[in-house]
Amino acid sequence: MSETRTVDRDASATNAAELPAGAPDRRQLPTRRRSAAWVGFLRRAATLIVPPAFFFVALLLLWQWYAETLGTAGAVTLPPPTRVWSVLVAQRDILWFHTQVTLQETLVGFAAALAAGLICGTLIDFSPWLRRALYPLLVTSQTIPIITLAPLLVLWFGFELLSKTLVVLLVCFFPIVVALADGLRSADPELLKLYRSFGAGRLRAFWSVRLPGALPSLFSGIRIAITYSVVGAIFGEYVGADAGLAVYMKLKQASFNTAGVIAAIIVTAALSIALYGATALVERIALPWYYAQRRTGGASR
Amino acid sequence: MIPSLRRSLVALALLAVLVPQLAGCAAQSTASPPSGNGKLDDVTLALDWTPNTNHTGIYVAMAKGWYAQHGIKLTLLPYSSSVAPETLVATNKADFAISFTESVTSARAAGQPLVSIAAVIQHNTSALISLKGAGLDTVASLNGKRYAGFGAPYEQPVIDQVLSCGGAGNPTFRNITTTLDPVEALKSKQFDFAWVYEGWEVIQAQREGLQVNVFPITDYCIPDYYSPVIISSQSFIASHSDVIKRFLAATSQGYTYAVQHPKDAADLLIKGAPAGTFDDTGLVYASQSYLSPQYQADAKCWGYQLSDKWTAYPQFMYNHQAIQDANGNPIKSPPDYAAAFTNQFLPPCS
Amino acid sequence: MAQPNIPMMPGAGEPASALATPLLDVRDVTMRFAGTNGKPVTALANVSLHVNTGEFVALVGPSGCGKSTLLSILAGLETPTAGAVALRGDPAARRLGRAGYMPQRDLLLPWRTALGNAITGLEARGTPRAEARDRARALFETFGLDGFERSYPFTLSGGMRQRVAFARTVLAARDLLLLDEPFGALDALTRAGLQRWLLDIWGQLGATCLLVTHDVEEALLLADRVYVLTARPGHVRLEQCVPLERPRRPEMLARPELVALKAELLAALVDEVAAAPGGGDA
Repeated sequence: MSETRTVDRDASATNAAELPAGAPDRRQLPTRRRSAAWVGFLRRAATLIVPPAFFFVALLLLWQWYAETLGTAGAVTLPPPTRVWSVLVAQRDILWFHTQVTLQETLVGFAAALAAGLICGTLIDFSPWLRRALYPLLVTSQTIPIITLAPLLVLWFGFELLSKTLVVLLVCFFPIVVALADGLRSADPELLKLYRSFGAGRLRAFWSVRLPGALPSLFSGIRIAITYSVVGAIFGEYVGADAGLAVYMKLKQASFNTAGVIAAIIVTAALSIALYGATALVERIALPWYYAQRRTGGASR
Repeated sequence: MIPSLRRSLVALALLAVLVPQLAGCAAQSTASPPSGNGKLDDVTLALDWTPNTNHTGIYVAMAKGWYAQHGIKLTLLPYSSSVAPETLVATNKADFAISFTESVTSARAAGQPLVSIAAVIQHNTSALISLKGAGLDTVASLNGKRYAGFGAPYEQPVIDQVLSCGGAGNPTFRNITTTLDPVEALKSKQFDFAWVYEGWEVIQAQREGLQVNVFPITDYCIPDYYSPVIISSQSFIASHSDVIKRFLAATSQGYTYAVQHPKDAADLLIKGAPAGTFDDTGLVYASQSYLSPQYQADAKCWGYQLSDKWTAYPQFMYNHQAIQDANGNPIKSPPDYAAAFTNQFLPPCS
Repeated sequence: MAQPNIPMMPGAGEPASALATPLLDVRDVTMRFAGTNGKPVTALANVSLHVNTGEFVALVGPSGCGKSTLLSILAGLETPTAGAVALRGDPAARRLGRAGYMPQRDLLLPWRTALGNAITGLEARGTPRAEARDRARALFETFGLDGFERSYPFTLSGGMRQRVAFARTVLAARDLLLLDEPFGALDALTRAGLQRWLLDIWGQLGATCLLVTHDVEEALLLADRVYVLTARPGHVRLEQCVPLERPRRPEMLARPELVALKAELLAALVDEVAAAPGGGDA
């Protein structure tokens, strides 16, 4: 696929006067190349989607066959996918209602984690003393089992949005801080030296060079954090909530409706995947240079 | 062949070979008693909660050797929050379990063939409680307040009924599902009322010095029903009726003993439970002295079940769409109330 | 070729005069720092040289002779262990931010367009963005970069990126340009093209330039004067004027006096390379 947009005019032109006046706008590919580009895109999408789709369908068939061999006794341990699907369809309104609640907790908690993570990561970068002081605390905070922490949070802060938000914050905060701190730390020293030679201060160097350069790393941290965020919200709901996917799961569990539980699990997974996808999309939009650079093999050295 | 396609096929082949092997292992029932194991039949009973005074008779019978005398070797399966005891029985992972009328009714409607074989306590001892002095001293005042629930579909209709029976015109409340201990939940002031057992949490609260209002639900237009009960599965009943009879004989002995000797029975419960179960042994004694008379109450013998108690409450549940089928939809026709219980395995009552 | 509307650098257009105060006067600069294994390393020992206003001076030396360290000192990024650097006759003058420093790698920010990169130096000094962009746009025309203002660096070839980096350097500079092997990373063809381009541009800019290179021919082609530095610890071994008139053309290097000069410089260089302690980083 012809996507190279590197233009080398040096060999022919050494100064402005020798550049051809009517140089073609390289953005306009000829039509034949454009349709070839589309075919290439579709083919790439196919190689990405077909193998997991194939595997997925095979797994579903296996599941259906196995569940049917279990018979009625299996209804509560492993209902067949057809049953799960019928519950998903029949209860979609209720499921959507609970999903919205969980989604709200997730997004608010994640936003809080992002804000706190950005502040903390920046502070750690600015002060080596703070880095030494905070890093061990951060690592320790991750070793406390959420299972024991979540009930305490609900006891202290109630069962409203706040306690769930705090659980999500605790879960998401760490990857963001670490990713940002590492991204800031790995700024090119040559580049920083160049900026110093401009007479730029530390603050400007941070804002113009280190922070944008740390964005790819920060986004990796964000992608990791968002994958866990929904699970965190569910944990918080389990401890105390009047609505949300965990409450729905508990209700289904209490009525021995395993198909409903599995349906809720599927919705939870779909929610996590959607959030991950949204993050990847935002990353693509925010860092077009990063992706294009990777795709063309990194023209810059 | 595309490499990724080849990999998928290999993985699929592996799955196809491995899964039936695993299926074969899982299908074996852990409950079939090996006949060659001396003279004792191995049976398992799944507990519904951490050991408490609902289970005293069983611990007494184990300690006194009455199960062994009847040729039974009993193993207790501890409570797990992730698997309901009813599910364990329905899938033959346990032979017996402690359960409740509501759960049995729900499980049967969801297609699990469970049968109640004995009633542990003759009358329902559930109550709604609230802390005194917070303006929640009458049932009517609970209207619109925050309830610490456990995520069961029957909580809504029961509490609505209690509220309207207590004088609330338009019964409504905030139903919050939580894993918190009910007394802890009330103490935290995040919740206003909770559903507890008079024989345990109420005594616990009083021992902690908390002043609580107690509203037994059967005083507020809820039909009386058995809670807890001992259950087994239809398949086990069909194949091991003799074992069940002997099991219940010993268990009945245990509960009868507990009725007559509460303090002694409490001692045996404390000794028999895993170490560290009871922080406050005083609670066990206090609870036992409350509960012991309730095991048998006004019945002729321990464990016998009457059909009206197995009809009125399930009917209430059915009328309020609190019974759901396997797809999660309320069932359209009333369940077979009589098939949910049997007294045939209880020792004969004179 | 239209006269470009770019602000000339201070001192541009004035003839280089040996009697006037040099723009940059380096006296006995010594640089010592702790080496990788703890032993102190002397990178530069008593380096003395000067650059007059409007001059193009080249520094040639073997790898590891401290050329880049010297440039860092001149740019104000580091302070010499001993010796003095006088800017416009004032040894105490603050050098940081006054020179346009161009390192070997273009170091263009991948998330900014070519124009955005060019104005980074001006922005860092606080110049209003609109004014900076105007100045950069004018320069882009001169540099043959017009049409590429909105391109991202990854779409540009190596040679074009160096030109953008050069534009950034020129815009950021106030007194002089310090170029650290700017064409070292490019292929020969591109390098030759850029050298010709630089000759032309320098003619228009009239800037004071100090170029560090390991390529003797490049030094002879571009510079008015050439210094040869010794291996570490570096100091000036040789200073020669380049007897070529401007505007220069590559064919001029074939003249006999240039051939002799080149041989002399190369001999000195080869001598130093042989003496260099295993050849470290510049």
